[in-house]
Amino acid sequence: MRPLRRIAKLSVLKLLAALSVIFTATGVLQAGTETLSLDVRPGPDGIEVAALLTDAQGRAVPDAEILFRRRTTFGWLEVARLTTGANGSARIVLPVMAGPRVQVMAVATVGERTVSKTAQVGTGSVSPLQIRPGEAELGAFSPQPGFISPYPPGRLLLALTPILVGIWVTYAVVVYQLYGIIRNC
Amino acid sequence: MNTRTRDPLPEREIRLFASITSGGPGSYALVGVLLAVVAWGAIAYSLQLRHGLGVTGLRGYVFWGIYITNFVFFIGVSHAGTLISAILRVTGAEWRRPITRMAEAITVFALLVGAPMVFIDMGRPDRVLNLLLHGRLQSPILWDILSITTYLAGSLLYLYLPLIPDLAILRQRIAGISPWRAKLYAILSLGWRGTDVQRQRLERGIGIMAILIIPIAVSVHTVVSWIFGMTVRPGWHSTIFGPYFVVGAIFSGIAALITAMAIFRRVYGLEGYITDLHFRKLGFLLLTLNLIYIYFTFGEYLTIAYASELPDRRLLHLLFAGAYARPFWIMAVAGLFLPVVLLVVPSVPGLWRLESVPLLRPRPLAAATGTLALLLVSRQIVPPAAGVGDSALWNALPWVVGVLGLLAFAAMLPVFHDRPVGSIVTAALLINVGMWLKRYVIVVPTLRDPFLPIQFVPHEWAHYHPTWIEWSLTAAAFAAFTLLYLGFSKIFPVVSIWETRENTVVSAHAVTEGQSDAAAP
Repeated sequence: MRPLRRIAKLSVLKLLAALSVIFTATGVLQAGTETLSLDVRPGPDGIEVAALLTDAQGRAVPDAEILFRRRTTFGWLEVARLTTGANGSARIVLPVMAGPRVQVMAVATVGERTVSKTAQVGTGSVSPLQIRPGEAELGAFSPQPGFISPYPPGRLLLALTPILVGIWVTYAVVVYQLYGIIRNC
Repeated sequence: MNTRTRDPLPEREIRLFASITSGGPGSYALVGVLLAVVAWGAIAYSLQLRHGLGVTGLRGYVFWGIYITNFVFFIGVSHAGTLISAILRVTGAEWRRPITRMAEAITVFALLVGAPMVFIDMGRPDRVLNLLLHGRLQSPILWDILSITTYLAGSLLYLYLPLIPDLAILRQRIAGISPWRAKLYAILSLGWRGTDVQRQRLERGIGIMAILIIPIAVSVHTVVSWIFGMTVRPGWHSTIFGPYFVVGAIFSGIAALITAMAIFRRVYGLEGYITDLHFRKLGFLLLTLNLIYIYFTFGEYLTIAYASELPDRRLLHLLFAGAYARPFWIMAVAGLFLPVVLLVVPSVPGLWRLESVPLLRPRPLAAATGTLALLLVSRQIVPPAAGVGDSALWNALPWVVGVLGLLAFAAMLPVFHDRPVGSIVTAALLINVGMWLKRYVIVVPTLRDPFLPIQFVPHEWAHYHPTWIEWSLTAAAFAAFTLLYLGFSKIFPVVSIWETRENTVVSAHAVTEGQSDAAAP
């Protein structure tokens, strides 16, 4: 029984090995039929990501699904799922402010085949989004520039700071009582 | 009970060590279950971190869901400690002594669990620091961070101060404890020996904190309310939101405290300390706040209904008859009105007469309920034929269920009358559920229906259905709260030993001297 089992085991292993060779070869062939190129560059509104999908002859592949992912602290975050246009491209803009670097991945699906591409870009040259304009700019179109200004108004600071400082100083006084307990033990 | 043999402890006092020294398979099983729920929540959160907020039901419209509901709920519950301990301490209400520790612990653990809910609600918690670095001081959200941090620090201090003499008692009296516990008690008791100077210092510290913590607690929930109240949205932009939230917080805080008291009294046999009197007194407080909260709720909805502007009308429709009618009416009936009845019932004479009403007798009521249950089950098994499903009978089914429920409730009233503590605890449990639902119907419907529709957002995103990730994290939050509270009760006495000891002495003294008030600790 044992030799028979060994032969059967060997046959299964050989079969698996042969199948893996076939599938790997097919995967290479399939991946080779379409090419995905990814252009990632800093733009005025953030990182501009453009994916272009072409077939083996270099023709654009329309209506293919492209999944855009962005690398975050916690892994690859799905950002958008788009379909390529007639020119075979899909484009997104990531609202990224200046930071170390941004890694983007695009995964194109054509039928049952998928092709992916990863690219990264430094964001040192990206101009920060204009979310903190000055009071003068806001004042031009807001009737209450003081209210929506990103800069803390002096009166608010004057009101809040003494309250907070007062509370924490009182805590310190209470902690000092604890010190008194230790000292008199 | 294993104690050192310096002075024999009174039998009554030995009970107070029960939570620390006792522990069996039941408590280990409970801890295991709670840890499993917390671990499940951690898995859910890791998925949320990995895949973003897309795995939740939060979208462009409803960006605050049950996470912020939990946040407001837990911050509300945290007010238990402030009211019971600080206000009663300041006003010299001596009956509070056995329950202050539980109340103060609720505050700390509710804050520890509730505050992180805001970070869980954030898609990128790794950017939390930006809130401080680039925060706008005009934003109530930044005020919230400042006030909650201050409140947590104060609450910890306020919990710790009255613990010091008890830690010294534990250090001296309990033998056979593990070395780490002995070391912990020795460090935390700060060498307390009960000298006059030490007592004076402690008294001063507690006195300062008792006064200071009240305005801080009030400010915390006022600031939480301003997150909503200072936003121009239907149902939120209201001047009463500050006091409304503060009253709601104290209301739910007392309900949580009564629940904790009932559990500890039952589990550790603390009937000698937590008496029916405590439940009755807190029951009266709860009833007062319940009525005030109904008044505020009535005022809130009547004001916007009277003006009846289109967005407000849409919101009221959502709440009263639309997608949120179920949580709203459960909150209103089970969370606000039934508790009033339950809290009043123990003081109402002649309720036994209800037992003679034929419809309220157990058998007819059980028969009616059974028939209804059969109808409901049969409808699930055999779907109604075409046209039958829309018949008046089926449409009236919720009303039938409601009427039967009320009849069953009325039939239980004589039972509640005979068991006042049970009645008060049931009211507290209903209030806990009702107040969570109240926060849900404050947060979600308004977000779903803003003044202006959000551009380029699909219409289906205007609906909010919490996903299993959100429910898992909610369950984990409640499990974590229970776990922390349980852990605290296993290390520290949940009833203040020295304060209740002094109360006994003071009470005896007051009887001989004809006084009614007590000295400071």
